[in-house]
Amino acid sequence: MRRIESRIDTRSDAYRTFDKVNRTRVAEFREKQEAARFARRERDVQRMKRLNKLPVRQRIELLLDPGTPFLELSSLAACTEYDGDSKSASTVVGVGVVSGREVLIRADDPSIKGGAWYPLSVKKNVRALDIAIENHLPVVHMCDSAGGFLPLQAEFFADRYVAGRMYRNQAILSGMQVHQLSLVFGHCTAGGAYIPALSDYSVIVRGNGGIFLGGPPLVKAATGEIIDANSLGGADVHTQISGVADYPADSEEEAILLGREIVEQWPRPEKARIELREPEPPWYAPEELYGIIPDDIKVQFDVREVIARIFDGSLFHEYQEDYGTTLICGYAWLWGMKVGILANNGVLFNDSALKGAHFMQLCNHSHCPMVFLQNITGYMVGSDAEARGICKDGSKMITTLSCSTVPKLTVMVNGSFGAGNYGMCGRAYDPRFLFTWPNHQIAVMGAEQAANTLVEVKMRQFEREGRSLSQSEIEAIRNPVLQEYQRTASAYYSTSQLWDDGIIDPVDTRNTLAIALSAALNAPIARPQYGVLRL
Amino acid sequence: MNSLFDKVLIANRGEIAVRITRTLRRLGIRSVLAAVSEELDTPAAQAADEVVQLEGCDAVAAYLDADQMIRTAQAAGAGAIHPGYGFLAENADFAEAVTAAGLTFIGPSASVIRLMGDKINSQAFARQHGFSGATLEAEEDDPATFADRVRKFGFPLVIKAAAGGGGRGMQIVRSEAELTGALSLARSEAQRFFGDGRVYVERYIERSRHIEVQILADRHGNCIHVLERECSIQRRFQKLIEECPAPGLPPETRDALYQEAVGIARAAAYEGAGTIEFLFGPDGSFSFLEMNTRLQVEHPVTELVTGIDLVEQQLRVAAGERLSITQEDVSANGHAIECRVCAEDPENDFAPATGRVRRVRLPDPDYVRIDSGIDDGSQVTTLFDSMLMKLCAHGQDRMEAIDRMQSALINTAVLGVKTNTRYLAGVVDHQAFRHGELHTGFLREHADELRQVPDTDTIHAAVLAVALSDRSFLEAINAAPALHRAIGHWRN
Amino acid sequence: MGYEFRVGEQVHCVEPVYCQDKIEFKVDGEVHRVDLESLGSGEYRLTSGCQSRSILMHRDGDRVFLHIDGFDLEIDCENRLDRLRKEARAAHHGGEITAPMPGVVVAVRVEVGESVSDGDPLIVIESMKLQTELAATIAGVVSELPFVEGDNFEKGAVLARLEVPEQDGQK
Repeated sequence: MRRIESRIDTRSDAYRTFDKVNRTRVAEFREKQEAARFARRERDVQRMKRLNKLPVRQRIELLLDPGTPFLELSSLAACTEYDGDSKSASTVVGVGVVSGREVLIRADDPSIKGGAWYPLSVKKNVRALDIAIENHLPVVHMCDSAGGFLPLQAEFFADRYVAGRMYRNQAILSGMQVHQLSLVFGHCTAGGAYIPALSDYSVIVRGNGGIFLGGPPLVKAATGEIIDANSLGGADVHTQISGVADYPADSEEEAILLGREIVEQWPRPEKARIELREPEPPWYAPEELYGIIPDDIKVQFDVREVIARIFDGSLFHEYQEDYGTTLICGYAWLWGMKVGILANNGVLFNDSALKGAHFMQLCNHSHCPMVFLQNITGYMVGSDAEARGICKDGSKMITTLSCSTVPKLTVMVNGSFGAGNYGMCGRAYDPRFLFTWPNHQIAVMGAEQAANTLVEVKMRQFEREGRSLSQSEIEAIRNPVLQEYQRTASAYYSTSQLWDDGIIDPVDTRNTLAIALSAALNAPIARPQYGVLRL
Repeated sequence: MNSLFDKVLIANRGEIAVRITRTLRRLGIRSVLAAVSEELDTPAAQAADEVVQLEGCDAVAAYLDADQMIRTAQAAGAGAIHPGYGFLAENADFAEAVTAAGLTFIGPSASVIRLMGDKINSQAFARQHGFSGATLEAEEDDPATFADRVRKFGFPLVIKAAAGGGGRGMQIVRSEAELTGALSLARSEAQRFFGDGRVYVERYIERSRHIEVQILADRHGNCIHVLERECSIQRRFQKLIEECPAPGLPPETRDALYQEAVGIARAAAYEGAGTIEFLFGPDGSFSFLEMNTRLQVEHPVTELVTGIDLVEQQLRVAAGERLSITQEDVSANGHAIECRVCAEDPENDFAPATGRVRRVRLPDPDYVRIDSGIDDGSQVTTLFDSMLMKLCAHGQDRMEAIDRMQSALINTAVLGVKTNTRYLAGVVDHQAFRHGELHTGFLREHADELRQVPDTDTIHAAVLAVALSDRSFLEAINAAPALHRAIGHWRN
Repeated sequence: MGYEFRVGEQVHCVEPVYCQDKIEFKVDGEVHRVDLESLGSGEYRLTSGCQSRSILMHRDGDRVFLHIDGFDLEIDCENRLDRLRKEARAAHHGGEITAPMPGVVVAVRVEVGESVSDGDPLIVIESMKLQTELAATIAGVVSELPFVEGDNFEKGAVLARLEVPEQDGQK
């Protein structure tokens, strides 16, 4: 493999401008993330201390093997909802190493409204277990929740992929012979009680821990029985009498150490075999990414420059270099793991779509995981493209993509618009993990385009009626549309809705993808079976 | 060479028993060790040709059981008994009984033992014969006026047991307020430890030096000195570090010392090996303290410097031979230092330590002599004295001896029981020690500087060594997958 | 991580710091790059940078005796989980020995006021034709013995109470 030759001039005005803008974007992102992780109301901090409860991220740090990395997912979930009350959607989810084994950690944050689940908390929990199922990852649950946030029950209770799906996923995961451990630090009420009950192993902290299908208030209301939480479903009841929980612990630290010892008992998985090599850092500095991503989303850049700053040695074997040049395809190494890369250098044309579909087949047929670097406004439109069959060529990309069996990872590095989102492995196409950069925007089309389209439609309508639109009327149509699109196309809105698995600093892309890929390899790679390709 | 005796019974234990056996073997004499049950599996028992078990459930009492010792010797066919030091070594009745039983007691006559064993009488004896002696007041002279007579000394003063010796049963009194209480305590301790409650009092000299002279005398009127030893480094009157010769003694003083020592030994018609102890004041004057009618713990330093085997000399004298060494034969070759390695915890006010010795590793150079009573697996209890072994280093001069001793101590490992090896290494390396500024209050005066505590570097190194050889720990740290170890500690 | 090494009163934690080529170690927050080589018969060489140390080690169960830099040290390998559980037991449960099932007291082995160690037999009970010896789970002083020989008791009855003597800050 040969090294990509960079053409970036780090002393150019453009570079300097972009660098400044992106560093500001990243600083803003880190500030928001820090606040979501650690800013809590004083009275919540005091309440936690009074109850002898450790902050959720400290519980996680005690669980993890020292000296190992931890990849937190969706740290800014729910950041644009609920007036910002539910930081990280009141749950922390991430991939880490416990007693030498890769696990998925899902932890309630009791410092926010007692750990109550908002609709997005439920969505995040379901997503966490979907990740566990797709990647065969064992799960450690840290349970400490007041239960569902009742005022919003309509959004998290009845539908297919909300609350009930959590427990269904647990059962399915268990049926796949993938282990789950629950560390019960607080209350598991109503549906939440199923989490430890459906876990293979559970540890419950004496005093604070409680598991009950109906809590004391409900019990009193339903049957008139008056009983305190501990007597109803505390550690002693469940570890000595009911058998609902396995191990009592007298402190959170003891519970966590016990949890580590339990995970130590789990068999080590056999991971899917892919090509491996001694890792080496990229030849070009990852920080230069800040100077490559433009400040204006409409400005083009060569995505090879991005590839050169993420993958080992900046080495890249490009496939069909001269054909379908708006889609870059090729092989590279990610922390010593062989991957196939599909990355955008412009709009997708017929040839680039065919190239993409073909390359995806090559990756599937050589057990080579795929990494999608999305920066796409869409497929080419117009009579020429249609006559050439852009619809069926786009469809072929979608078919090979949907029927791929190797792990897929997606990073949205700039724009993700329209059908391009689909063909480049957007959320709906089951990338095992999907990450975005702070500059990223996502919508069915660009804000300007949408506003112009709607104005165009209105103008046609008025023309037919013999009227015309004044400038202010045009503004009146354009502005709300622009504002709404800008609000809902931002990286923060997207991550808030859990349309991705988290915003990351571009410089962190390499480690993030490597940890994600390593986790993904816990699931076996099946043989692909493609649907009909309209040739 | 003719065998002096066919068989000798060693009525002792530990390092001295091992040491005595070494000379017996060299001389072609069979050795029998009398041992209580706890001592059957020890280096001393392994060194001896034969071992006979002593009866009795009180281990210490068994070693003090004169009758049993004699019966044991007779049953084993031993012609002589070597009492070592401590136990029955200075028991005049025992010496008499041994002789009465037709066996040879390796030591002086019972009458000399009796004379020198009573510290009041031995002082009187020295003065009678014109030698120096400490000024003392004995209670028995007139119990009613004792307290008043004592006050004339001023404070501090020291109360001693008449039947004591070897630094035991002594108390320093620093004020009038303490006097009455100290006196009654001294009496009851003397009664309990020595069976004789008689006490006497002397003025206590701070910063004194304790220098003793080794004596060898035969039954034919020959009496020589075998140099002197410095024994000032003591704690609570127990010697810890000794050396030969004593540093910084003017030649005239040394000669006067030898003259006095030989004089006293002759006057007492001494036979065998003995030691005359002197107290040196800060002004350089000295007076007779007491005589020890036995082999001393610290005899190796004399042996290293003179090349004379004192145990061999004891055996020869006891067998009736004339001394084969003349005074001219005695000369100092280099310098030797001895350190007593004891089972004690320097960090806990030197409280006795117990335990099972897991591993002993001793330094090996030929200029280090080690007299040890322990080996891998030895059980150390509070039954017996806490001294485990003696390390003796010889050098061309005092500096070299000190350097070698320090290195030997640093390289001595006793795993399983706390010892004072590191403490001792700090003492001999101390500036004042190196400069020869020795006195009986040395250890107390420099106590703070002498504290040896491992620094953070050492602790961390120790912890790492243990961790890196701990299987569970190694398994745990090697458990993480290679990728995660390569990335290391990282958070997004 | 849970691996602790006790030297006297001080407990030290050791954690790995993974580097590209080898593993470094953090002891009490200080990072060390070391190598331990076993030379046989308990002799080891610990190399740190250019400094090399000779160490003699003897392991007896969880206690390691070592000779290092002229010192003879004792280091206890502790599992933090073990220690937490012992402390918790002593604080919360050690005080009471309760009957696992109904039965009769066959023999009482201790007296009120007696000092006992962890594991010392306290009471022998019989139930369902089976005799069981109940032992102390902590070190302490027997403060109460509600039943005597021949007495019947119910399941869960407190058969003995132990008190942990006042700690003076030392372990």
